[in-house]
Amino acid sequence: MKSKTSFFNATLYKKNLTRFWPLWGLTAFFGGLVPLSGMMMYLNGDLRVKATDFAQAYYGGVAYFAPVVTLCYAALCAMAVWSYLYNPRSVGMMHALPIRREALFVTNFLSGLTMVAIPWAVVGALCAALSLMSGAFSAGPLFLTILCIFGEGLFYFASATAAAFVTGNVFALPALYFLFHFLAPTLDFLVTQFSSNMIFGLQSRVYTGVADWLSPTVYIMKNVNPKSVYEQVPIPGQPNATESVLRSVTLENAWVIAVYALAGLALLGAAYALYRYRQSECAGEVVAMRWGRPVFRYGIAALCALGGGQLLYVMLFNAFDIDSNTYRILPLIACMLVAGAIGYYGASMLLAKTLRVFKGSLRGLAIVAAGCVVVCCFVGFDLLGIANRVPSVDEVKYVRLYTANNTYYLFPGEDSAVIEEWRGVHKAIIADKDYMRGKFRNPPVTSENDYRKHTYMTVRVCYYLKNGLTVDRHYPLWLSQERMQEPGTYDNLLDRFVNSTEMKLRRLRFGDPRFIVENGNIDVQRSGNGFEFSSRELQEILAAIAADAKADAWGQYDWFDEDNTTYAVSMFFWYSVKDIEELANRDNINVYLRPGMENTIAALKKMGYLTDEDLITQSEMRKIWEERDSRKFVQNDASDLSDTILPEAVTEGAALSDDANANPNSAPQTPAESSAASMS
Amino acid sequence: MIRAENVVKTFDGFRALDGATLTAPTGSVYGLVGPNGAGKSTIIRHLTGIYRQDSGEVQINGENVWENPELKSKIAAIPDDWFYFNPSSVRDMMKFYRGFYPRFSMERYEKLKEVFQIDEKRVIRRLSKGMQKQVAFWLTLCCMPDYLILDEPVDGLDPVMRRQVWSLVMGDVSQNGMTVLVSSHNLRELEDVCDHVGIMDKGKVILERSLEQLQDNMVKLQVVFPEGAEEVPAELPVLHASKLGRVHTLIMRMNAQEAEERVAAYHPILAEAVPLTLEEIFIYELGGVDYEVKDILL
Repeated sequence: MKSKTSFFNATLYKKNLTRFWPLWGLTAFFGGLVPLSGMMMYLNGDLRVKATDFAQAYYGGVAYFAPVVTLCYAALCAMAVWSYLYNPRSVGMMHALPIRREALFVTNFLSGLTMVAIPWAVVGALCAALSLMSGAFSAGPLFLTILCIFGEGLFYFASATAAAFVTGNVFALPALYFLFHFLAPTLDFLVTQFSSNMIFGLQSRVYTGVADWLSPTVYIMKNVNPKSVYEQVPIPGQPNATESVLRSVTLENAWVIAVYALAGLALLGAAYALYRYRQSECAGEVVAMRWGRPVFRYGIAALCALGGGQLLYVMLFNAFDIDSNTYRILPLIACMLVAGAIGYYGASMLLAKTLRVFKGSLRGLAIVAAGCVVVCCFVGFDLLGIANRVPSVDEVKYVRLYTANNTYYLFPGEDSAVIEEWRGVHKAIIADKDYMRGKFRNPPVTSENDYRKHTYMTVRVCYYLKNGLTVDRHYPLWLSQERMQEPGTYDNLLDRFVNSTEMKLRRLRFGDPRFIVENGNIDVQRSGNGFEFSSRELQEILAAIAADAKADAWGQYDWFDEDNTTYAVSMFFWYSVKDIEELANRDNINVYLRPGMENTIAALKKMGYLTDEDLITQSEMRKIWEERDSRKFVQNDASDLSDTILPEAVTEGAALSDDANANPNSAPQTPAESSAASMS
Repeated sequence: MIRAENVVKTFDGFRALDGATLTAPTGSVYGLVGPNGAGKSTIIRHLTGIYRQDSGEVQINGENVWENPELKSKIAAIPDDWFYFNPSSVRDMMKFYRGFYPRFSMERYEKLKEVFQIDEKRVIRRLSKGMQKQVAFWLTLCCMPDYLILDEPVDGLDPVMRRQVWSLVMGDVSQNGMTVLVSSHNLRELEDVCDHVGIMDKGKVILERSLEQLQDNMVKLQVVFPEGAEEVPAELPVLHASKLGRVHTLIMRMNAQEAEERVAAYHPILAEAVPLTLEEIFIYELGGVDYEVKDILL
């Protein structure tokens, strides 16, 4: 202190550390147990580690462990060092001391940051000691880890400090802090749910993730990853045997932590500004700033209306509504009103610190009610025209379309005509939305035979626009044989579009320079054999399939066929992808062999992967399984059932996910998911 | 000099200070009295730099108090609910104060240890309320302040300790020229120590005088009028009148000489000025502003 311009007071710093030693002491103790147990294992000879193992452990800690631990621990440290702000007696004593607010702020912040750092320092020192003991010390990864941990600690404690100055109540601090940290994903989820259940075409979206960066814990855990490189090396003394050896570890996207650390500094500046503005007399208030009180009151009311309103709707009305994907406006408004009013009065009670908040509250309640009505009507009647939006060819960078159990990529220029044709299908789907909603309320399928006349199909299209935005739509459709013959219906247009020769070749990605086939395999169900194609075979087999496609022997998608006509032989191809960012450089396709695919069958026979006996259809294969199953039921007692029947049942399920006839309800929606489903 | 000029402070629309003005001369002991909710503690929190006024000026020795650590190092305060860190001992708190107040005197600390006779290693939380108050005086006086601001300072102290504490304070006033501003409900006690008094009500300092001026501004006159004229003449400016037998006790807002002269015109058998206590001045000054006197008298 001593000087007017001093920004630090050693007495206060020491006092904070000595007052709150149980907090950092216990945390350091429990944190230190992990490396200590490692030391014990090492001393017992049970631990053999290398420098790369330490690097992997450090980076794993930085990416997955530290964000969660520091998130919680920083809140506790902030509650400790800023606790004086929340009691009129303590705030009076501290602010009467001959020290400026700047010095109080800096000193308390530094002491809190020290409390955050001490347990990590203890853990780090013990880890360094263990690595030295085991001769696996490496300064680089340790240094990077220290920087990252410090960055995370700085960010979390700074954000907790900012939350501390928004409130005047010690218990409101962690509540606000966690609300700030998870508000963006929560709102993302609630708004996505709300809009997807109100606007045609946005169905089945759960969470967009667009605002994850506002929730650093989520963002760091998703984006900062340790990247390990393994190498297969021969095991000495064991010919032909290899083992995976960790060669190097890097921390991907560590810059994200640096950015958050800078954001922490910005939050610190904001916190200091709040402190300058803050009145000592707000100790005990839930919201310290007067201007923040209406924000809190209406913010809580809005959150409750959005979240609680949908919850109430689901609890009270959804059970009676067959089309559960669509909210009805009037009941939803009623539910949101109730939930919003609860939020409004709850927040008012917290602010006023009394239950008597009803008198004179009609104006506020009217604002909440008006907000609910406006939002419901605005979204429900789609005043922005979201449901009807079909981007023009000029707007798009490329289009990703998932239909007929396949994913297509269409690019303006080379595919302009195809995109235009698709836009026609898309517009027809939108024009028939009332028909579709009616079908969902009264499904046309009531018996087994109806599946020959009607089918359920998912179409998902995403337009990647040149301005960086996306228009992502998802349509669950009922298709009927009758409408498919009727020109102009979406059923008819979709069928013509998918089964055009051009789209068949696109399905195979054959000749598309953006897709480079990397590997592929074949699964022959009758024999139970699986083979991996060599790179030469891959080119050969794809050329054969393409020739069959051109000859109309492959690629005709039958919307109503229950995979009776395809052979029980499937092929799977993986591609590496260039120039399409959202695919993460991988794509795949599943091809079922069909009668008439002479080129492909001949190529496979030539390679020795197929015999004439293997060419049985899926329905014939199912009969074989059923016969085999019934024999096993007779032969085995109940205890053997799980061992004998279940594996084949799984295989059968896999067989049903034919490229032409899989149930669209369970159909994967992205190529990656498709890969996972097919591989299973 | 401690000076507050036209200070306004509003809490959620309630004007706790409504243009309060007070002046405590250097070296004086200024007693601030007033009913509950008058704004005494609020103005004290302004004088110690805890609150920032909405408008007006709060200065000590010509400098603004707010965010002025150099000035605040010369100010020490004991609020009505003194705060200490839990679970600190007297010695811990001494070290804490010593780290903030550059003039903190360890010599005095040791001397006062003998006066208060409290084990410095004891945790303050475990001391009685009165002993905690003694600790507050002990540490505050060790800060060697030029300005001492006390809010209900001797509540909880036994009479002997009250005298002891006041004796220490008055010693500093006389030896070091320390200025003391003290708020209290205990008017009798203030009368013994204060040389200046300010009376607060509803956020304003409605009266501020030296004790001498205050006593000179109001008079209590005991009068016996002659036979046949036993009622108080209506022309007399009487604030309050009472009668016991034939003796009238009149309270008038003027000095004793003027009052005796005014009453002499009615040829009283007896007319004698009696000194007013601070408590009586307080009652009659505030009587006119609809104040429930009985609540504040001890």
